[in-house]
Amino acid sequence: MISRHRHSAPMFKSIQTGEVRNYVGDPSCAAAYEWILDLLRDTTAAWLPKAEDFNDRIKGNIGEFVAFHVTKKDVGSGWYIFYSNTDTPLSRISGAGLDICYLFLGTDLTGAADKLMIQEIKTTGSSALTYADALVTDYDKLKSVDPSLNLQARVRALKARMRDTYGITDRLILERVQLLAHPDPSKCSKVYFLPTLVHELKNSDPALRLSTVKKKIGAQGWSVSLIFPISIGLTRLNDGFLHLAQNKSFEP
Amino acid sequence: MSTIPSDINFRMNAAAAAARARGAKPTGETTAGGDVSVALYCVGSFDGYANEDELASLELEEIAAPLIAAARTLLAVSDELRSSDASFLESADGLAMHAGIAFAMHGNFPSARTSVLAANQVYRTLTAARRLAWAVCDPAAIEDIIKFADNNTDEVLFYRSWKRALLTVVENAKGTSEQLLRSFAVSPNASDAALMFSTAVAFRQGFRLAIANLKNTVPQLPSSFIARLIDAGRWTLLPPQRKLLADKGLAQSKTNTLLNLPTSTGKTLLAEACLAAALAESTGIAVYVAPYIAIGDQVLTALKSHMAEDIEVVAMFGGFKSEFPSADPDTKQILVATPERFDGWLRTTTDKARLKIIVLDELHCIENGSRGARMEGTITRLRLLQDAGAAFRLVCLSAVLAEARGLRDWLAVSVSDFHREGWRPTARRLALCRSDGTMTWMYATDALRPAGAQFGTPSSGSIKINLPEMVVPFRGEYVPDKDSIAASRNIAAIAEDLATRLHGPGLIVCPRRIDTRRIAAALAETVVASDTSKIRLTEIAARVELNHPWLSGLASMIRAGVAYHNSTLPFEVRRWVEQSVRDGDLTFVASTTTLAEGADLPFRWTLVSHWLRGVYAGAPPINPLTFRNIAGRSGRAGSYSEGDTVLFESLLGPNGAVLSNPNERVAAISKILTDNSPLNSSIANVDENMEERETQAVKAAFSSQLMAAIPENPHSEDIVSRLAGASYAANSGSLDKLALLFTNALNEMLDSSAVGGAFAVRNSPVSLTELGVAANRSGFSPGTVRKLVEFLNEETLSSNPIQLVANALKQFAGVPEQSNHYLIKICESDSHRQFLKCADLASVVSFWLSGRSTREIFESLPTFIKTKSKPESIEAQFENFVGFVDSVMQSFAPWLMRSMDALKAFGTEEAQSFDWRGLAEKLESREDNSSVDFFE
Repeated sequence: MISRHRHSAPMFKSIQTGEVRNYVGDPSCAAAYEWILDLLRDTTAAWLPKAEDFNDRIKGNIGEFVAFHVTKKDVGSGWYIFYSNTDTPLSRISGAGLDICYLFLGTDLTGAADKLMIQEIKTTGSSALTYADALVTDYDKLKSVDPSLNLQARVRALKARMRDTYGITDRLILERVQLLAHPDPSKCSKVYFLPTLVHELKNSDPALRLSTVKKKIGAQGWSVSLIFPISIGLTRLNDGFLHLAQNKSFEP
Repeated sequence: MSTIPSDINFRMNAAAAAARARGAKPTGETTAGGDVSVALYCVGSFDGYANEDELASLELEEIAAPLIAAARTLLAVSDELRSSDASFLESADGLAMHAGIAFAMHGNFPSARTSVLAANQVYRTLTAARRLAWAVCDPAAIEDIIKFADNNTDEVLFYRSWKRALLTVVENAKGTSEQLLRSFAVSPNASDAALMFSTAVAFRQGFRLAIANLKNTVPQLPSSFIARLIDAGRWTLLPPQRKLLADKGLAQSKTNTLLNLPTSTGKTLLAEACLAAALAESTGIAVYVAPYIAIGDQVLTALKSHMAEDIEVVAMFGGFKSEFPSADPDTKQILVATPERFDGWLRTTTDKARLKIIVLDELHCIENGSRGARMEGTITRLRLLQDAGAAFRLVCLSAVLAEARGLRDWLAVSVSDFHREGWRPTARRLALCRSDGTMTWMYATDALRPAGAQFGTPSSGSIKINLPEMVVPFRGEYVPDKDSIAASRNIAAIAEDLATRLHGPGLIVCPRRIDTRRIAAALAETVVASDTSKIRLTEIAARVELNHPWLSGLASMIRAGVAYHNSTLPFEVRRWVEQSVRDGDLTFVASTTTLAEGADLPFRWTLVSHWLRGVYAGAPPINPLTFRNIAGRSGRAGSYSEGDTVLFESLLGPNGAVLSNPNERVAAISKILTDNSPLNSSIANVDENMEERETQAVKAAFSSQLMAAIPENPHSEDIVSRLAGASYAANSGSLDKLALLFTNALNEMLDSSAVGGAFAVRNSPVSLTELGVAANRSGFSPGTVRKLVEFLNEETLSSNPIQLVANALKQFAGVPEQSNHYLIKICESDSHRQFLKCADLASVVSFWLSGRSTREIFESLPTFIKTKSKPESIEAQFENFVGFVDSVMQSFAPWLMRSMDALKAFGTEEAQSFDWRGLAEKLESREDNSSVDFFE
């Protein structure tokens, strides 16, 4: 799906810690949860009837939903945004595509200002944050032999969506999309990675964990200067998301 | 235009993927994922192509190279994944689908179909995007695909309108189907979405190549011809076919044409179109000359299927014969003939004025000994007839020509009528396996080789095959059987290795018939037929055993999925073996070069088991042109997208310089692989690099052509200069040799003191005497005709036909036109180890005329009856005997008898009263009484 979403300012603030941008609730986690619930009510009417139905997949989808709404404000205007699960945050199914892509095509027809940001998101209620390593795997798949995961197929899928959803048939524009992603990771200078961890805030060290993630992704051949890790911390995340999924407010 | 950054080395990725798919180390440092990334990027660079110019540019290698490389890369990685780990199967299927669409964008629909069918059916039919991609790549399968469409109205509507668009080329149908295709473009699966984006280009390319377009672009082609092609399942043309027919006007052209197209690019269909257009307007005769009966058979079947009902298609196969079924002048006929039969017809026909077109297939065969001499001579005569005003057109075909200027000049083909196409549907891979089992793939003529890589540059790291036997050159004249058997085991080991790496059925080309049997036996010891093939193979094996009990060894091999194929096998057994290859049941076939050069069978790979032409002292290396021809045939389009040819550096043979000296060996092998010299006239090597018997045969064939040219050029003041000057020899540096040969032959013909008198008189111009006219009808050389006249004047001429044939065979065993060494050997003396003795000839002829099977005749030989030889030796003897029967009893003996008939007026009264022609027909038409049809 695609969105140029407008909504009230997120109840999150960001702090840059070393290489990682950390988002936390502002003024509090309770306010952040309330803001998320408000967004969910705008998006879905199919709430979770029973607590037992809650699972990691739904938790992940809500995490993607949160990451999308928190991040997009800082992305700015003029971007085409594509996502897989963000408009179905309570779905028991999680799409296999890229979580969120932000595509910018500059006014300069040479394409010099064009860029693509790929945000892969993982959600964990554990303060150990070991699940962050799964982000490394997600980005590694961009070099996969699997054509449903390989970056080049995904870029071509974006072209298809640009044409068939936005009605953009201008060949030159679609070619610029094609040119964004060089098949050699070390030469892929217009694709930015936003590895994002939505996580339990209490007793966690997301900056350390995501710095390691950045190094590991860089070791795959991608330029580390184009990798911008993001952490979104929420206190008592598991409980909070369970409540949200049932259309209930939550105060941690 | 596509935008591939210069720092993307897609050629290197393609080579690396190909190497890994073969289990070899790539020369470049890439990963499978990296190769896929580059390939998908390259495909994406072309997926906006829409207009005619852009689609046309996708046919050109220089523009579409990234796309072609991508298709090959994706399929190679798919193959690699398929044989590595079950968890990669879905990726392998996905890549095969993407490869298919990339091939289709390039207009390579045979490989597109092969690729999508490589994907598992469950994967291929799971989503609408994949089903649509399949339908675009393989439109003839639409009715099957519809069954998977889950009653999706739009999807079914697309299939219907896509089919209609292809078969009617109506723009409305195209528009409807294209719009419907767009509606499926958005998919949550990135692979499917990307696939659909590119499928649109493949769709447009398919419409552009639809064979039905010919109705508009080549109105000279009968619509019934186009309709029949479509009925036969040909919905799209290959790009070179479209270009030559629609853009270049090939079919309707009236001028001589030379087509140099790689194997599998559809030369036969182009020739068919030329024939159909030539006969569309008026009655007349068209001729298709095919040097191999296997090719002639295929062409005959195709023509009968595709030509309109008012065109009679006539087969003229077999040895030299001038008879021809009489033709009504108001009919349209196509003669499919061997060069010998066509020569015979041309000498005597009164229908030359009705000739409209002559297609000469495998033109490069003019280089091959006496047969080549006959072809060159016949074509030269045709050229002289054209110069004298004949209106027919020559269309010459070959897949392996190098420099063609001399040929063009010879054939009076203008630059614009010479069509050389590099486009090929199948990637050709070449490898050399050294005598120690080290095998390396190398770059050949493929335009996709990376910058700096020359022909012969390794395209992969080496692999090592464990050869079980040590084989070295033998220090003696004749190689002992144990060495040959050991060499066969080594070849079997290489073949098994190739089957594991490359899959698909393999052809092993052998220098001798005995090697075909030994290698097949060695393979059958370890190979097991697949479960899907077992039932059919068991049935074939039973049929072989029932009809030909002495072939129980072959039957056992067939049960294991292995067979040998050579001229000693009965005709029907050879056809059964060929059919089993077509059905995909046989894994290995060991054959002599005849099958490799002649038939178009779906082998995935070919192993040339020896680089020398034989296993005897002084055996020369394989002719590079023959090797090119063999190499071009593995990987048949529509069955495979790749074909590998491996040349083995065998050391089997008597110790000799070229075999034993590593440097000379390397130089000779390098020449086989890389030599790209222009064709030679077969006269070029006479008296120098040719054996004496072959030299005599070539000279005889040319001499005979001079005789044929005399009545065809009644006003020529200097027939020698005229014929020699018009020959290919004159265009390839051998004019003096041929002119001298013709001068000598003419002097021989003018010699009135010789038996029977002169064949020709110098009345300025030269003309044939009555004897000369008869001699010309015989097709023999002047020297041999003299001997025939002598024979017909013998006072002791027997009136017993059996004795007559036997005596004739003894007397004419040594004439240059008789090519069977076995007959020469047994007639020279009795001090030989062959089972057949000269004294047995009469009984052999008798049994032959009575319809006994070849095996029965063999087993009636006195030497066979008392032999205590091992079965292996007996079979080797039988192979020689079958060769004798094929060459002598079926071909040479009837030719002799027909010539006696032509010349009998110059013999004794007894000779004149004898029914020579009847005897010839009996020799040819005798029926094998021992064969029982399995299905009866």
